[in-house]
Amino acid sequence: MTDDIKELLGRAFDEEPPLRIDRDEVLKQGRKRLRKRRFFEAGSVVAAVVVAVVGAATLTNLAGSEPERLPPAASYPQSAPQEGPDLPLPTVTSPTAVTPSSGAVTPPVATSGPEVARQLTKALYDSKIVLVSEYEPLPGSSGTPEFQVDDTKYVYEADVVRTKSQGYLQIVVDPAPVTAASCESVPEPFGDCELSKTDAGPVTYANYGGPDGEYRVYVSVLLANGTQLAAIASNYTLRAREAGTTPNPKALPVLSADELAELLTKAGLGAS
Amino acid sequence: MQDRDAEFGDYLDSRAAVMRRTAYLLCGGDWHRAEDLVQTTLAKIYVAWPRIRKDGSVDAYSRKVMVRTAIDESRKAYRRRESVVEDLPEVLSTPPPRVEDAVDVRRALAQLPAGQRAVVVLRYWEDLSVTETAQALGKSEGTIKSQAAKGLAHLRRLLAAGDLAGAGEAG
Repeated sequence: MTDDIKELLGRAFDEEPPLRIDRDEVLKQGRKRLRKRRFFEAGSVVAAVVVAVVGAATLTNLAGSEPERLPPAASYPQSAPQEGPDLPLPTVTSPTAVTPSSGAVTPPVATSGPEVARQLTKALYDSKIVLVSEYEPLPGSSGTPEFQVDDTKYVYEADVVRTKSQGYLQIVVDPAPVTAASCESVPEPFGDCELSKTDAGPVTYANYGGPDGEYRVYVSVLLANGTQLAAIASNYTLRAREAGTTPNPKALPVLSADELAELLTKAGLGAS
Repeated sequence: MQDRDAEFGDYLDSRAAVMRRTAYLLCGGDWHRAEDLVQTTLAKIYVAWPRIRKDGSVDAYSRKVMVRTAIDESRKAYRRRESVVEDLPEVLSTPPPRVEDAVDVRRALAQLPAGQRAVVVLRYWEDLSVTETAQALGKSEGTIKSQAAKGLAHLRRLLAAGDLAGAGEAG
């Protein structure tokens, strides 16, 4: 009986085409899903990091011109960008939402996503807040980590290994315009949020201590042009996580909140 | 990770063609959708690879992921809009298709509700027991028996009675 039905179902396979499943593409999709899962586990889903903006702005500053707004990673029509912020405001902690100052309009950057990612990578390494030699590729990857285009964002991931600390670092640059920074936008499970106003724009700080000894810090910056930059640093490398090693509960994140803020605001400071 | 990629790659190479056939039936006879389904399934398997490989449950997990993904996708509105089923004539208004015609088998499969189709494919193509099918779909064994019976009865109405005659008992 079952064989009869199986034989019948087998008749559906006429003119079976050659298999077109691409092994490399499947691996790529699998790694992407894995990264996203870890991203969620790290509570950074909503985080939008700004390194790309920092990079572009830094490059622009090096060229002696005004900073411009980053194009979205996946090109789509957008309104004209705003200029950088009016300058320096005293650092003030506030529980309420903070809106970045606005200025004149500058033309959009006509650069492709991969090119922007390359520029962001260069800017990140040129900043030397973390030495290039301290960045290590994620498990399964090789070479120097680079910003990757992920839908409309730019994402950088690496394990950072320094002399006295190590951990995971993620930076997300989200060019999609955001009007106001708020602690409500801090992703779960981060808490203890503080919102400060800085020269570069509103900066949000938060942290998280996991039951297994993992400790994460979260920092985001909203630039005047609406670009949101976010970064997460932990005391737990992905390589260690992959190996099943538990984090050292006494170790601090590989980059402090101040270092993350410096990383994210460096380009913003030049956006005048 | 390199070991993971190598092991997973070996699994992919050895199983992709077989998986695509199952996916083809689950999709109601669409090779393009079948390949998409297999690709999505494999990407999901990759995430869980260390655990399921350690458990020795790769094939069982693979079937579970594939069939649930297929059912989920079949429920999406755009799938309903794009489904070839809506273009087919009413079952009772047309003579039963010839069994020898693969197109007829595909059309018959395509007319089954996704859940019934999944049960029929797992039970009679993948040769799973009622218990294994229930575990894969997260349903009770009673539901599996019921849906298998209904699915075969539905197929019987669509295809030549002789080929499925006596095959309707789902237990």
